[in-house]
Amino acid sequence: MSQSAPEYLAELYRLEELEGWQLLARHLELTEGFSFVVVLAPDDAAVAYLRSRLPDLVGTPEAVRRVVFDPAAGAGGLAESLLDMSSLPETIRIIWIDADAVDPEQIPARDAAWREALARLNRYRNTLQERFRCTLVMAGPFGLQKFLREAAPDLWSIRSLVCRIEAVGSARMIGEGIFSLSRDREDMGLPGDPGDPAETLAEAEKIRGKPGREILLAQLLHRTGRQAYRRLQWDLALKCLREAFDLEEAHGGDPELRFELANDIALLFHDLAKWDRAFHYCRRALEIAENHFGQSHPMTATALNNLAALLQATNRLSEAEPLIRRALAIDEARLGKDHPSVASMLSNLAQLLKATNRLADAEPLMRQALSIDEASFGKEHPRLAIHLNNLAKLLRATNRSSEAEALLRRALAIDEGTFGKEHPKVAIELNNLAELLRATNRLVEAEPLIRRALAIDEASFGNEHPRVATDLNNLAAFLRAANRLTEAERLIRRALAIDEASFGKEHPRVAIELNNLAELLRATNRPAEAEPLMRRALAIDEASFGNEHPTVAVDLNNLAQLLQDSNRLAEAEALLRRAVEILDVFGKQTGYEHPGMQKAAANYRRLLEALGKQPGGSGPDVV
Amino acid sequence: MSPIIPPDDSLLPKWLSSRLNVDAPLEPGEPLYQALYEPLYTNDPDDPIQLIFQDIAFNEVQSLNFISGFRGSGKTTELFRLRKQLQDDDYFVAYANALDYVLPSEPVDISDFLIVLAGSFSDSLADQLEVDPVKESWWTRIVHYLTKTKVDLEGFDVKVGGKAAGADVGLNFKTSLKQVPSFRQKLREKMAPRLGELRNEVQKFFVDAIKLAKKKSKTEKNVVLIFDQLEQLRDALGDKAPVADSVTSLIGNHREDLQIPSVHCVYTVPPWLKFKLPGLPTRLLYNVKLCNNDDDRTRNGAGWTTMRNIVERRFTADGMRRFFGDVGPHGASPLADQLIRFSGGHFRDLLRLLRETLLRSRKLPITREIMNSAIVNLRASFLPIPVKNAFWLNEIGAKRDSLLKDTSAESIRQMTLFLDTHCVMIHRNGNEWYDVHPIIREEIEEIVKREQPAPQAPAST
Repeated sequence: MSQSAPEYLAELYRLEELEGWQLLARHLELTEGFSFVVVLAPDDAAVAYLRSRLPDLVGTPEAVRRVVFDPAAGAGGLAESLLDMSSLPETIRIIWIDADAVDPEQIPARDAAWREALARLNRYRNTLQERFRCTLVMAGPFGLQKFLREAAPDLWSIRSLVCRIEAVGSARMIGEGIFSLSRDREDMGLPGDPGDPAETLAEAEKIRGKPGREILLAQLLHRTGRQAYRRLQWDLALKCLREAFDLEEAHGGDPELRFELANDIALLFHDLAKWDRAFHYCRRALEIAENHFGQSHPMTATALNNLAALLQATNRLSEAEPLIRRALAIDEARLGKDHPSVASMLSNLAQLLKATNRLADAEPLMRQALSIDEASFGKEHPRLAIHLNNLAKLLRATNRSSEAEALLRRALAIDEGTFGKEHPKVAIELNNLAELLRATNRLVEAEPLIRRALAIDEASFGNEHPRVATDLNNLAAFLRAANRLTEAERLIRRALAIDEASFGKEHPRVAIELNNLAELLRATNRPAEAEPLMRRALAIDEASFGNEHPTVAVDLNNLAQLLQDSNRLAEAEALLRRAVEILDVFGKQTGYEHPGMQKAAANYRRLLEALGKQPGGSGPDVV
Repeated sequence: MSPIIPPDDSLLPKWLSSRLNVDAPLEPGEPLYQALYEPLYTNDPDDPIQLIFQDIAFNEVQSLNFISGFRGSGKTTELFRLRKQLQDDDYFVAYANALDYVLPSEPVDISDFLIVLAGSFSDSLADQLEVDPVKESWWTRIVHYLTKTKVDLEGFDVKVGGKAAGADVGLNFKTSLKQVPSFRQKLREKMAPRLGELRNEVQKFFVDAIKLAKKKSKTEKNVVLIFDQLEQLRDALGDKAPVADSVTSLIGNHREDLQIPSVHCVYTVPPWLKFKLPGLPTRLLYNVKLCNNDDDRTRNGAGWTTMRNIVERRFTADGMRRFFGDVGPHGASPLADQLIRFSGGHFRDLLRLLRETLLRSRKLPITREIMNSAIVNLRASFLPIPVKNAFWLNEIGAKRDSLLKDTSAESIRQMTLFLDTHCVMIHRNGNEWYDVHPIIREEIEEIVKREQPAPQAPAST
């Protein structure tokens, strides 16, 4: 651990905000005599940090006795160490068992040893209970939770507690892929007041310019940047983080801090849709990780993941996939298959597969990720909301709307409970749910949700942000469905302008808006204005996703309808035939009928009738 | 007398915590017993304790009873109730904890079990009555026997007349038997060809010990031996099950040895033994049932009353009101009832839920959010549930049966794990029935719904 680690960890694990730590404090306050506590933490550094903070809970370092669990010595070694502690002073309040940091290669073996150690302690429970009049704490990885009841059912009695310690919004969390879990879901960090950036900045200013204090200054600026970031004060956040990064590069010898700073800045640029600069810092983070920690280190996996996410956000899917697969392989090997980092990687990979139309491959990965995080964090954690959303989108895409709705409502409840009702995360949930309601024709339920989401995002990001464009699109779709076309057109044009400025004119998001606008023009009897927009959308989607993607089928169907309006039936037939063929292939590949299939098939059937042709023959089956 | 409850709400959680922390078995007559403990089965015609008591009373000379129960279900406290009832009826009762004599992770053999059985009776006698710990102790006897018969334990000094003597010899023997697997193994090997002899020695000891017990306790009734915690013998994690196999062999093949002549013997045995030895007459300390065995799981009033009484005894009426807020007649509080519902009638799970709310109670009365958080936390300890297990558990909940496919080690181990971890609970009203713990029912249904293979379209003809 570098010298800056305690400072940094204090930022990562703000114990006064963490329920797990507060429960441990309360447990110690209320419990007398022997008790058993399992503390679950993300990694060795977290465990060491928590150990260093135990005196806060019991008043003095002398009240804590540490027992080092050496996995190589096996579970028997741990039991012997404990049973040998015959003359324990009465002042001891905590016996803290943990393992020293191990080489990441040894982590899977160590986790298995933990399980055996729990089972062994369970056997000696009576002796332990008689011998120790204090709290016995085992601090280890999240994976301990799942075999606690199985391996130590007796120790896990009423006088026991399980505490989960999670990082509060952090670069490590970024590394775990939160920001890349969904293209629509940039993460703003986890709950809790991050602290006042102005106060921290004032501290930093006191030492600015003092020789030899550059690293401390970098750390304080880092903290200020994060605090500002979490309060959505973008300019201040960016200024502080970049200055900290420059200071670290110029004076520091702490690659970990440099890595975190590069990641934070990349995330910030990602949120601001400044892609070039986001790429620059993402690649810097990867370079730092590979040079200082090695090709197979979890930090390298973090950097790979982030870069893949950025590639995905900018629609460079084929470049992203090998990176995310490499990151997943590193984390699975180093952290074990049940680690939350692995869940994030799985989720990211699933998103990528979904984006490239491999839905049947994506779904089990999403469910696996959800299951890992449920086991690690419980069922109310905001990470679950992200997984639930992603899965709901996939279910919608495969025509399972009622299951999707249940998941979206669960996600909304989680985020409202966690972040409060005015947080941008809640806006995302509202949008997702409203969109589903709109698509299933429940307009009255949908409108208030969409308007609430738009208001939240405008207040949080300003009027020109892509997230506001998303909200505008959603609201326009609703207004169109409610036949309020003039208002809808105004909103779509505004959304189109925002996204063209943010993503460039060839981005698939732009294609969606072009289509939306064209559909509206068609509905208001302006086909000549609509056609070039639809053709432009088709070209963008073909270039982005390839010629066989269902999105292309939707574009083809839209354009065919427009041509039919103008009685250009032969042109329309070719387009519709191609659309139905694409969706037919989709159904065969995934096992699910595409939601647009029936409509496209019906359109095609009617068109053939209009042309005096019979369905079947050499064309697709539309019966 | 009502307990003195602190008037200040800030002190109440600590006071409640001290009452919830009493998780060791309680004895009738202890001050806390009356204050905290609600007997689980009284007024129930299926009360297993009452049935064993009747069995002992009807069989004047001797009887053999097996009783089985689940981890944390208040089993030992119930056995203490049996002991108290027997003592009140003039029986001399020896109570022994198997874990004082054997390691729960080691297989047990008939020879060392007989030695332990006699030893535990001897220790109980020494504890309760004034007997000569050297002359009248089984441990001295067994050492004498081994010395007399020149059984060479190769490297283990158990001879009388060496440096260690008298009670020390017996103590060394007893300690070695429990703690030193190589000693126990050597003893087994040497005793295997002398099992008949050992049996006679044990029986002779019991004849003498019973006489002594009757004389000293001035009772004409035969004695009772309650041998508790035998169900705690279980295998470490892994594929093999030597401990479970040894327990099955002990009970299945040596029942006649477990019936000590002229002694009413009560043994606790693991719940899974019923699957291995289906004919074994076992009384089950089943879970308190909160619902009936019908499709809608209609509410079982008696079970609810018991669980509400458990909460009220620990919290007191005043504590209930201050902690839970709204409390109606008969201790009915919406928040406490919700905790009871999610305990599934499991005594320890209820206490655990109460404790989880206590840890989160910064302000009284507690809120629904705190209650939910406690439930979520307890549920997390059951998760994740593997898909394969979820299907089995779902079927158990639907059919209310164990649905054990076979008695293979794997099936038994899994069912044991379900029972040990309370995923599955056994109830009875008339017949035994099984159900899934309510805290995971929804989770299981979700998994099954999610993983259920899509129905295949009928093939076209």
